[in-house]
Amino acid sequence: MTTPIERTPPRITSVESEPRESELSKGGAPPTWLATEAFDLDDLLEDLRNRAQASDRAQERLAALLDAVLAVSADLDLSDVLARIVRCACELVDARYGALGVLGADGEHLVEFVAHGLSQEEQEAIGDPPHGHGVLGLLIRQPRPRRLRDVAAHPDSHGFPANHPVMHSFLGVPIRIRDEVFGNLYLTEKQCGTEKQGGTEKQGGTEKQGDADFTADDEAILVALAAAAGIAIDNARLYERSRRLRRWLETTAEVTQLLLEGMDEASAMGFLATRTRELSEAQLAMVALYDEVGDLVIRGVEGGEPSRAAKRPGAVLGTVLHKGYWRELIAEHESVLLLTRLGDSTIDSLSADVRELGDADPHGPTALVPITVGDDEVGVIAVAWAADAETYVGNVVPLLAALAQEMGLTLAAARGQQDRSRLALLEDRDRIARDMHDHVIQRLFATGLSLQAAARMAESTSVRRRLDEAVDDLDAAIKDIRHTIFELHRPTPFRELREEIVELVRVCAKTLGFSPSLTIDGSLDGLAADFEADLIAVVREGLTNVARHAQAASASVRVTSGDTIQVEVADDGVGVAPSAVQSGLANLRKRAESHGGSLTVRARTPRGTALVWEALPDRE
Amino acid sequence: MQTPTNAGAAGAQSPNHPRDVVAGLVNDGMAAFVAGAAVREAVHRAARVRFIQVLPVGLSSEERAEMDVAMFGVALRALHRQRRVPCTFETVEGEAAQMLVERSRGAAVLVVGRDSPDAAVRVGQYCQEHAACDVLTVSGPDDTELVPTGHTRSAYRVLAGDRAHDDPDRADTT
Repeated sequence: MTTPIERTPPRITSVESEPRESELSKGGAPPTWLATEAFDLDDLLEDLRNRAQASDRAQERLAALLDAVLAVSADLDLSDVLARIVRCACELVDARYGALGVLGADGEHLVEFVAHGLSQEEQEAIGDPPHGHGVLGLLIRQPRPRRLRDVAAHPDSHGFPANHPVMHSFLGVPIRIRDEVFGNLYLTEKQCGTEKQGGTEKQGGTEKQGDADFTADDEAILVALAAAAGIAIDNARLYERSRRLRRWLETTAEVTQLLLEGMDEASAMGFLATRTRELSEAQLAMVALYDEVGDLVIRGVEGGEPSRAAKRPGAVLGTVLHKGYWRELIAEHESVLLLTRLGDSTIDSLSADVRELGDADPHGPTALVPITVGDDEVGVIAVAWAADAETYVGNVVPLLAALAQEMGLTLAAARGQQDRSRLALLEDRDRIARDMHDHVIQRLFATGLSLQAAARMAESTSVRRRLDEAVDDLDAAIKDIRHTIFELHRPTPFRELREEIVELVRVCAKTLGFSPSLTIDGSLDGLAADFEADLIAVVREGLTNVARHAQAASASVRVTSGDTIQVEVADDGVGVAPSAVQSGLANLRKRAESHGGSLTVRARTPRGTALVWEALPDRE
Repeated sequence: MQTPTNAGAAGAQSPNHPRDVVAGLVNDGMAAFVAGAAVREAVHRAARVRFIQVLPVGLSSEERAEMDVAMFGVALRALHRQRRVPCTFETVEGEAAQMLVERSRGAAVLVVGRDSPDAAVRVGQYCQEHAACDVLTVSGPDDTELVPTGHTRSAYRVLAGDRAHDDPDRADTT
């Protein structure tokens, strides 16, 4: 809000103390040279007074303009800035109504209209905001200031819609940002001041019916405000862009960290879909990745409230995208922005395929962005917006493309990390097996031969028998070691258990309706088969309980391996009722106790339940 | 790639949106040029581009799917680095010229391949004579010719000198 500086009108005491013309004439005497001089002096003083007042008014308006400039620059939120500009403009030129129309990308139509002076009810009664026809379109076609005495009488006027207040005087100026016309300021119904200056456009003799006309001073003031508004809008847009970019970078960093810390790809992609939808302000986001056999499989979907969807988003997890254009899109390394509108004669099936994955509107913009690393094809991100997001998405697609590129690198790094750790494990096993074969077995074998020789030389039967027994034991030990070496060369059990848990969580996602996050921290190498079976049972039972009882929107599974192995299954559901049948939990408790561990079920804050199963690992 | 909802109607046009650019892709060897010119027009007009592929009747579903993917690839290459250009992909079956005239109703411009002198089916000429919108014919990467609504190519040549000055939407022409 502007606060015009209060100023005291200047006093010209010496001038006002002079006798006036009327007073000089009272005596009825003919005017003398003195009277003539006084008459001229009065005119001069009046002129000086008027000039002083005009100067004072100019200073006041200048001060008000500066206040307005400060006001419009005081905030960096674009919508606030636009509203302030309109309000300040109305106050500066005493306009009853004001509006700021934002031009679309085509530069021909208004895509946003910020009004001032009309209540919400009045705006709703009028209906759709103007799109830039009539007199408003005149400013779009010819972006220069316009002052009209009666807007309705202008040849370009299309008249007012129903429920629109009657407007007469009009002042419009374009708002430029560098060389680009951002939009226009429209002001109507000047409220005070009756001066009529030249420059108002003639309109075929139509007489003005409003309160007052806008003046050349109003126009100059508004042009100056529009210049300042352009800078304020530019700053707000840059700030908005940098803030949005920072949020996208934060998301990239989060997903990267999760993947490199050991979260499985499916969970990380679920998280990525969630954050992508939030950041894009979209209705639906989907992430699909190529699997080991080359199928493009949906790994993450976030698509609005599941209860509103005919098909719950989680139900499509694991679906293979068969249609050929998905592969073509990824192979071409090109993003594409599909746009279907209500009333289109045809339905773009590519767009429909994405939108039907969740709860998106049947029409609207849909972005398909491939995830690639160099020549490697990794997957695709798809995002679908509401129909009214058309003007917004153009700025989001480049950010999505950058995110997809980063995700490609992150996935490659995480897969490389997994491969390296797997390779290191295999190399370690190979080294151990080689050492046992080359050193331990040979020594035992030599020792056995030595003992056999000693047995032949032994005279005592009991000594010979005991030496033979020792040789037999050594033989058995050698056989055990050979068996262990054979086991070490088999496919790693670490990978099998880990993948079994990943697969289990993925399968459970279909029942849950969402994809639980999964983190495996530490090695699960060398666990005894029965311990592995118990661990799998804990994860399965935990997730089944969430699906059956929790009414949760999200869940997480964390397996931590150290001196003990801990499994935590947490959700954000309604919690466990005290009366609930807990036979499943009793079984889990028994499994924990059989390994020297325990089971804890506790409430989470603000809602939900956490099941914590901990046991001492039995290793082979 | 699409499901017709009502035959013959054009894409939705709102007073808020610039009218569409329609890329008419037929099997005439010029699909890549047509797609490229259509994308350039769409960028210039800040408009949506509708890639419409017309296939002959009687193709098997496999053949149709294959053509769909091929057309999609052509469009993707035309959209190279034009991430903000909105588009749709449609495939229809029938006689190319009639289908394109029908589907381009309500559009700003229809882009089609220019007829070769020995062409048996003159799709470009038919579109120029019957389309309700401007028709841009293309025969190479930079070889385009715009015929405004209501003028055949020969008539346009007579008018071209005058039209070039007062048609603000006119694309680069040869």
